[in-house]
Amino acid sequence: MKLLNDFLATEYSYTTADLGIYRVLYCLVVLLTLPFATWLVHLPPFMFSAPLSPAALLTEFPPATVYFTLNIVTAMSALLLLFGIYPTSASLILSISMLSTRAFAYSSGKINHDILICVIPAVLAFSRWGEWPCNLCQRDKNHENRVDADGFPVAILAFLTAFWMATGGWAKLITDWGNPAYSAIYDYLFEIIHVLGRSTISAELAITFFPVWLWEVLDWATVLFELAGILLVWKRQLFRKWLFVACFFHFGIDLIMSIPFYSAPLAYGVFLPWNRLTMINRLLSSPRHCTYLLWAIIVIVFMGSTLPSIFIQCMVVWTAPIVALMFATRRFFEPYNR
Amino acid sequence: MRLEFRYCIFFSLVGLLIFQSYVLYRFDEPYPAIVAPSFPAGQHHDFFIKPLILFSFSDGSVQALSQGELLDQFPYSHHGALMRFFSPISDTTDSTTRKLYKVFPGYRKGRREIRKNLPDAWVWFQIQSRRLFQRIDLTSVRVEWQKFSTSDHRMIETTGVYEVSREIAQ
Repeated sequence: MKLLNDFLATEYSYTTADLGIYRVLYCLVVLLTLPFATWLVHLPPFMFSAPLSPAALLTEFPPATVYFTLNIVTAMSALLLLFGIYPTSASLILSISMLSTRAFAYSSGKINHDILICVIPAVLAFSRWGEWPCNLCQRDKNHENRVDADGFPVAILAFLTAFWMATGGWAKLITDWGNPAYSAIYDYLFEIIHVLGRSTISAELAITFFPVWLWEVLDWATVLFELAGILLVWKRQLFRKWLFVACFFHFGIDLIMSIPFYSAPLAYGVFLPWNRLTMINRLLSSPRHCTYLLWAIIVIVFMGSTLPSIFIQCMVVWTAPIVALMFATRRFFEPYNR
Repeated sequence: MRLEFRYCIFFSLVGLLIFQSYVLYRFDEPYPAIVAPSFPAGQHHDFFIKPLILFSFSDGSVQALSQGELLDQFPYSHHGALMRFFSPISDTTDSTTRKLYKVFPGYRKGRREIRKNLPDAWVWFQIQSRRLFQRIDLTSVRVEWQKFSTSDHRMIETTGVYEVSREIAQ
């Protein structure tokens, strides 16, 4: 019981600066990957085949103006959240608009499992993540690493992340992934290369040189790793180590199977102590540094807005090893003052 | 926030997740749902099946496409799901009988009404003919689901066919 009490109260306590810096990064990624699902307008009516979702109450795709409006609402709420204006309302509207856009985007039958990035704003809306950097001037510099954000929303997000991954592990466990007669990962990779026609050098190398036993080990390791998160989430120190491995896990999947699952590394970023790692509060204390930061953001936004959305998604996945190393820093494992 | 209130929220969430799991295993994957990709196994064979799309024109010429070439307007992660709208016609029976379809009329609609959708599919293939080959004299489109051996990639047989033509569409 004490474990659950701690989990719900203090285990995932962070500073508003940690969550605020993450908020800025999150909003930038959301804005740079807009407009979302522009290809929807090319889908013919007979391809409407919604999963069990609110979209299934309709019998055909909505008009293009609906997608346009949802993208505009997403962009406006992400901008408001980026600048910390009405953060709670903006967070909730952002979640709803992202979920609505995806409900239609997946109504041709394929669900991309990027649900975590949609629920992040709704959960963190109640964490005071929108207060930074406006609250900087009210704070005592000696206590800048003191926890001032309620850890409960972050704990809920940690639980959802672990549960999300465990559903994948459970589905694999009950569908023969443990069968030593063949490797499920090998079969999927074979299908990706020969049926879908997507092949990379790393995929070809893996399928050519990996021995049979290694494929079987990878099958079992995947199932055990995906299920382990739900056991480790109750202790932040253990969960961080699991996230460290998870970052490499997603990077490896993109490298070999060409599945850029950008939503996962982006979601794991919630659990990083961004303020300690970046020292950005100190940077913001000098007006000259603020100018540099502003220019950096302008350059990132300009470069990002000229790149296709899939490129931004790949870039996020390819930063996963960097995120993993950030999880491993000694600074990160030091406890906060509570 | 009081600890009792935190417990209340947490266990409500657990209840929702259990309900979502029930829907997932009893019916189908809902959206939105906290679910990771499952990649279910149990389909290990010594063959693999992939579609070949054949566009026939009025002068007798035929153009062959892979699913990636036909669906290049859409993200590749959706190609497999989109090709299911061209499943072998002999394997499909248009069904509207389940109670679920009455509550959610759009649920899997395109996949369960493949025969009914043939005229719409024909219109779409004509658009693709103009887009991909700059030709307006399309006479039929045939999707052959071909079975290949995994060991030597030799084609074994055609397991099923989806076909739509000007006559069928009319």
